[in-house]
Amino acid sequence: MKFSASDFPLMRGSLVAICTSALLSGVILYSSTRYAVQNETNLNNAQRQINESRNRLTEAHSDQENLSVYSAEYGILEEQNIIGDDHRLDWMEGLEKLRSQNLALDFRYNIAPQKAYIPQPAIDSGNFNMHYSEMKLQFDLLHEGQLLKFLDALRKQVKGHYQIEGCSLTRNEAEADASTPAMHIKAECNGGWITLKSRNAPQ
Amino acid sequence: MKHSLLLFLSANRLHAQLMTGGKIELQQDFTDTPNGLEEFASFLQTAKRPAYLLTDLIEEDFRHEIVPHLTGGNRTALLKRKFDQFYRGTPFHQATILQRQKTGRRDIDMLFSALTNPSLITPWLNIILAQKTPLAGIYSVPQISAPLVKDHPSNHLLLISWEKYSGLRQTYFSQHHLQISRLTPVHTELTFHDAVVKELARTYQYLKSLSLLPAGQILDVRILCHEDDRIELRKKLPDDADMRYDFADIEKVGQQLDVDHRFTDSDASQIFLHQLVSSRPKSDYSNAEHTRYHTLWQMRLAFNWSAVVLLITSVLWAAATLWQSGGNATEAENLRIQAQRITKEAQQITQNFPSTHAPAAEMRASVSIMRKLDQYEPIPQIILKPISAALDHFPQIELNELDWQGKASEPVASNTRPDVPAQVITLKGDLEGFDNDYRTALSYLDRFQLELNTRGYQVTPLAKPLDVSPSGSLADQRKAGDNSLAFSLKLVWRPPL
Repeated sequence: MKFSASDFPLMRGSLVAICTSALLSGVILYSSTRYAVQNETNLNNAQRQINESRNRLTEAHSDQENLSVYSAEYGILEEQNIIGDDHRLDWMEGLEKLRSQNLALDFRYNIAPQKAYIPQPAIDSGNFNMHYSEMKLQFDLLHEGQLLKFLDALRKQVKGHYQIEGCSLTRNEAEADASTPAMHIKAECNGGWITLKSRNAPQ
Repeated sequence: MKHSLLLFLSANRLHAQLMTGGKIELQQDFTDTPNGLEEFASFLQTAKRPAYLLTDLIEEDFRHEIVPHLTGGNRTALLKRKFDQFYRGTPFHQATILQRQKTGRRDIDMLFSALTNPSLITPWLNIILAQKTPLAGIYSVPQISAPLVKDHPSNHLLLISWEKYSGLRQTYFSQHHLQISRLTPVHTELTFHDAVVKELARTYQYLKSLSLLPAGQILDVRILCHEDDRIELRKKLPDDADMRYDFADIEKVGQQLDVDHRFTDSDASQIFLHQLVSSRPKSDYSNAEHTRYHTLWQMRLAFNWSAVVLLITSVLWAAATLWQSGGNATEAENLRIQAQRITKEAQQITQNFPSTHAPAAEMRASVSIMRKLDQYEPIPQIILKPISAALDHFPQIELNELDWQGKASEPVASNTRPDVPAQVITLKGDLEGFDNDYRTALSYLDRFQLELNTRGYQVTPLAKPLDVSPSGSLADQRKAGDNSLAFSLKLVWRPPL
């Protein structure tokens, strides 16, 4: 059977019905799908929000614990001028103070410019830059006990943290010389002053 | 077919009835006159529903043919040729497959039939088409009679029925397949049972003459009639050894077909009309142009149903989506409330922190760094005191030089901490007072090394007073000028685990 233009009026109502139905169905499906997608996005956002909140709470608990555990020790580091910039005058004054205590026959020091410190094995420095001001110490000693006492006094009396890398002690060959009858040992120690500076602090 | 228009066409009259839910809603008869045709046209204007035209005309011809089994275009061409040959003058023809032969080429037994006087149908059909009434098909009474005899066991059966405005219809079935049918007008002066008696004898002779009824075969006759006529027929039908009679009560048949009609005589018109609605034959006398508006009506119906189904499906789908998505919305809202509560809890904790200028994380980091550096730093007392203690046990060892350095690259010994640098100590000294007793001196040095080992050092000799290994060179020591024997040891120490 072939269709003709005269058939159209008969089919018009049904064609309008199917087209309207298709259009309405499209609108309904599109709207419902869009609503569903929106809800899913909202759910994902809410899940992200709650994850962030949980992380924030965990962080708060962690900070609370850190504060109780580390605040006292951190206070000591601050007091020792380990946190922040170098305090070279403090070190020099401290060393001169040790000199006046006659802990060794004589000692000399040499502080080099500050540089970045990379410990071996490596340490996670977190949000800190580790700085290192190398200082070489040379001693004239009566005996090795003086070196131990000096280093102990350096640790306790001078503000800062002097990290000893190593020492070498050598028996004085000129021991028999009458002009320097007391000096038995020459010593030289390598190390440096460590300071920690927060990356958030002004450089 | 709940809403349909049934049309029963006899020679000079058309009966129309509107069916609603299987019940007759309205019925009307139209005569084959200009007035009747006009009334029919008016009637159709109010009856826009699928129409079924059932004809009961004398001018219906049946031809039994055996044709080759063909398909597709060949079959269509064959049928066209046969129709041109048999029924050139009428468009109302059809071919019905009776059976396929079981032997030989397995040809097909086919029944060709036609309404041979189109002028009886065309005036009515033109009005139907003009009114754009959806005509489903054009059928004939013999064509729809088969279901009325399918329960009869006979292979040679004659069905006799009476239609008020047509006459006496006799349809012969062989092997339950329609063979021929005759319609005889019944005049008013002749009663139904008299007509049956008169025409049955003629039909029997006709069947015998055409050899449709094999010799010696009994002809079973089923008569569709009212109870009153049955009694009369029993009286008047002759006892004949060649015929067996079977009476089908028209009221019972009507009940079986759920016909909404009270039968007061043997008129079987309603039986056939309902039979047409309940079991419509697959083929009929109409062509595509006759059923054009029915095809369009079917398409409209399909479009309308599709529109409804599409809309309902979309609504259901959308409802399911919204229902499922509603769960997400509720969950999202719950999560948001929970997140706000947790955030508030975190804020309460942080608000109670003492006011420090460093964040807690930085405090922990700085303290951790310094603790670790403390572990890296060699403590001179720990390094020197065990060596001094060991030297106290070995007075013949004179220590000249001591050097220590932290080194992370040294191999890690078992049971020591690998995460801190090793302390590497180099001792240089002399063995005093052994003269040229090298054996004793070397043994003394070995014991010193052993002593250091027991104090946790890994000892490696760098230089010995004498190299007595097979690869070493030896010379006398007199040129040294004193009694000292120089040596050098490397000690490695890491804190125990």
